[in-house]
Amino acid sequence: MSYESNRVSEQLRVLRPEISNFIVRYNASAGPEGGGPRQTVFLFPGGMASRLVRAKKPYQPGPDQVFDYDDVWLTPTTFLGGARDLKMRRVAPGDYRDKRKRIIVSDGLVNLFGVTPYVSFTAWCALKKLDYFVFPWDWRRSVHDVGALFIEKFLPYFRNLVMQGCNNADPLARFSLIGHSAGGMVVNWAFRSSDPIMAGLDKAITVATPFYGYGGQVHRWFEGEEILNGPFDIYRPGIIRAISSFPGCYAWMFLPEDLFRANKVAFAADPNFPLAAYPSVDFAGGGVVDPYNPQTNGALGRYPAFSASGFDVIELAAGEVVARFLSWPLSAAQANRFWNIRADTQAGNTLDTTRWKWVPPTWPCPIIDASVTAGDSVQPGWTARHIDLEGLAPGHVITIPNPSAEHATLINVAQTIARIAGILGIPFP
Amino acid sequence: MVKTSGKDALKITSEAALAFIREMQKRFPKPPQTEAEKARLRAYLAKFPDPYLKAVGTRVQSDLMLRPPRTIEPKDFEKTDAAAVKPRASRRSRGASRAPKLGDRGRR
Repeated sequence: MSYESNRVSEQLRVLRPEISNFIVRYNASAGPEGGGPRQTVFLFPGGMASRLVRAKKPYQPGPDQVFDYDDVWLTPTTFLGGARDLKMRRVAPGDYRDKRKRIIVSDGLVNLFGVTPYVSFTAWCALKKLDYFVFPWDWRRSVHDVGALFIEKFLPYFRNLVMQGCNNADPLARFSLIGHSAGGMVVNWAFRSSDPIMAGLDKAITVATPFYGYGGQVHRWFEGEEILNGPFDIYRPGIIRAISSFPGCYAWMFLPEDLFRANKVAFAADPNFPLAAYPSVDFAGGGVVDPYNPQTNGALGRYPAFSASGFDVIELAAGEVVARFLSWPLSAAQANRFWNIRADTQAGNTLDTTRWKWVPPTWPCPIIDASVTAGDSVQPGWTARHIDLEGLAPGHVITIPNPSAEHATLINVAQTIARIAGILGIPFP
Repeated sequence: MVKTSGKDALKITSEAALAFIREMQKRFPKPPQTEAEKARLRAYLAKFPDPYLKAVGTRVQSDLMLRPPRTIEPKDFEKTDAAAVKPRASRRSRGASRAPKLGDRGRR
């Protein structure tokens, strides 16, 4: 068996206890409050909200192995240089190895200093006797990689175990997907799938999910992540190399410029969150700088060299493919079962546009935040919905105006839960 | 640090959460490997009240979701000409001249 097959088998194995918990809840419930048919709800956590664990021993070629794991994300040790252990290495197209071949899988939600995300939302699901499952996912990987794992491997595995444990009840007879932040990107990918196992998909809901990127990621190719960089940036080179090795991150940047031009009128016409111009421009000249179409200026470019930082133009190209796929026009049928929830903290302090200097030098960071706008403190409002959705399905783009509706906690806000309840047909409160 | 009320969770600023993490990083310059080192880290964290640690955990998790660990004020962006645009670096900008170049160290 291969490294990848072992990784997948281990990923499914570590999810088995939570599947057992799902079965226990299912058997203890007569169905959702308010009556109606049972429905399974899968919650995809936001980027970096899924706990990652790392095998204590390296993979060895041969039959699939079972490993013990250490927490690698997110613990106090993560901040002490441990985040560098998340680095990946591409050995073939779409085939990655974890550092020192110690398999990393996702197992639950992070818990840092006693804080776990989504507590209010999952408590509400339990209170309403919704059949819910939190699907942790490896946010380092590409959306299509995660989506394929979910659809092709996890759903059949999940269905089989639940039917065995719940008197042949099919948990996929009617199910919905809810994705927070980058988790909504996985939802966006999955709900477009025509795989037969997705036939029971009822609703696909994104919460604070970027559809057209945002300005934060491009900083990280140069800056790393300040909290993880350590005092005097002692870990920064390793953090940058780790981030640059994550295929998933390459799809988080501002949309391709031709996509903006094709939808320019629609972007500008958003009554609450208009986007009048392409959000990334050259620092000096003000011309468009498309992160997926980096130009050169003699010996100057836009990104660090691979040898210096690990920034990978192959992953950049793959990220563009993902970004374009996720923003592909919706059909009427797709729009009818798709909801995008976004937020406005009403503080007007969500970072918006950027200006970009030529490199080298790559330090100080050539990316300058140029403006702020309305949003959820991470995602500008203009990116957090599909541009076609409101026109095709009026009322399916929902804005939560609330000072507490910050990006990380939006899904726990009562107004958000109320709207999700309405979409799913569940009474609220 | 902002305490809202007796019933509300303690909240801290991004800057304060970053300062907490920096202090921990200075006290533990290497990831703990041995049980004794891990116990020392646990003992250090145990000195802090749970509400404070939870406030740090909440703020850090929010900031790790791809936003800079600093308070962002709209007034910082009121001028939009090139001379007035705000660099992202906060306290790090004071040490920028001492920052290592990419590839100088920490290469894994």
